[in-house]
Amino acid sequence: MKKGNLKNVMHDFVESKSLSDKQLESLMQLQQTSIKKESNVKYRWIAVAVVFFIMMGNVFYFSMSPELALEQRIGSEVAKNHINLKPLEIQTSSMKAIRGFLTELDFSPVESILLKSSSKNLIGGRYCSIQGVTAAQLRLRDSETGQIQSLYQTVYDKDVFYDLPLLKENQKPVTVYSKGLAVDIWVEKGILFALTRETNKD
Amino acid sequence: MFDKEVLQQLYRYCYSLTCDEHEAYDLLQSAVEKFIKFNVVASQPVAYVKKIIYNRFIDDYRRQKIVQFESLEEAALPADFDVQTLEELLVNENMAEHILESLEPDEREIMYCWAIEGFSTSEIAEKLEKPKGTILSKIYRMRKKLIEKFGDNSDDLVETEL
Repeated sequence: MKKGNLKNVMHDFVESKSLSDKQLESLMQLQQTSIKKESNVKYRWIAVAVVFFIMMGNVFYFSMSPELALEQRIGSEVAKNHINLKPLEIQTSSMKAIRGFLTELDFSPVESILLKSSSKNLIGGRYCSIQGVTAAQLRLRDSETGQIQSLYQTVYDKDVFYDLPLLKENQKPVTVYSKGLAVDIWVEKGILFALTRETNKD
Repeated sequence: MFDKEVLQQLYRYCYSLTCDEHEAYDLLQSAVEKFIKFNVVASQPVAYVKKIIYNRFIDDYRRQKIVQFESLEEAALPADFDVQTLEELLVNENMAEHILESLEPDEREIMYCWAIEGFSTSEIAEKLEKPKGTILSKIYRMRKKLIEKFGDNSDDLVETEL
């Protein structure tokens, strides 16, 4: 029986052991798969980071642009009040009667040029407020569809309401959505108007 | 990522510890998985994986067998004793597997470092982060054990002066 010194015998014996081709491929595959997974995890983190920065950007943008957030706040408040449909304090189809009743306002409710030739008829009004400013809430009924709409009016103060669309400058009303309603907002004759409408016609 | 040559090298290390081809493969696979999973940034990845392999092996070994605690006292060594004295042993080539199996885990690692890696006593001590005296003591015991176990068995192992 062949003999050798311990070191050589052990060396040759261990060196004779090797992974099969299949085992080698399996280990190489394992590493490749893990690298891909690692890349996916990296991409996932990048996506999370992007979303985070977009959200932070939005927060920053809206905090630096209060007027944008304000339109939405006006829309939300108006929609909420409209849905509540609190009892009218005066029921009338006359704007003159409205003006005569809502005397505590520091402005005079007016008809909007946008609604003058429409099928919307005034049915009454009540006091309310928009963003803490006293306002008139007028209720309209569309004679064609039967839809009840609320038209809010208050004094337009640029320091309070920032830049809103001015009809006299041919700007179109801005529309925001809240609680399933569309709310058109514009400024006309020094008055801020906010009109609710159902969105299924959009 | 480890290339095929490194994987073969790591496999031989695993085999030196387990003395079993399937266990060696399982051990290597789990170590590579762990290395990748924790996304280890190591200046010496091969050495790092070997550390994982050894620790894993010891854990498994302990689970399977009763741990034998060795005396903290180092064996009294001859003044000129060194790892090279192992080379004085002549063995039958077909006894390699039995010799490896007869060794304790730490002895197998020393055997691997010495016979496969070709390290000196100092290098083994440095690699295993143990005092040189401890390594020498283990080698002395290992040599003694091998002679006791295989020396009188049909000349499987013979002491010679090189």
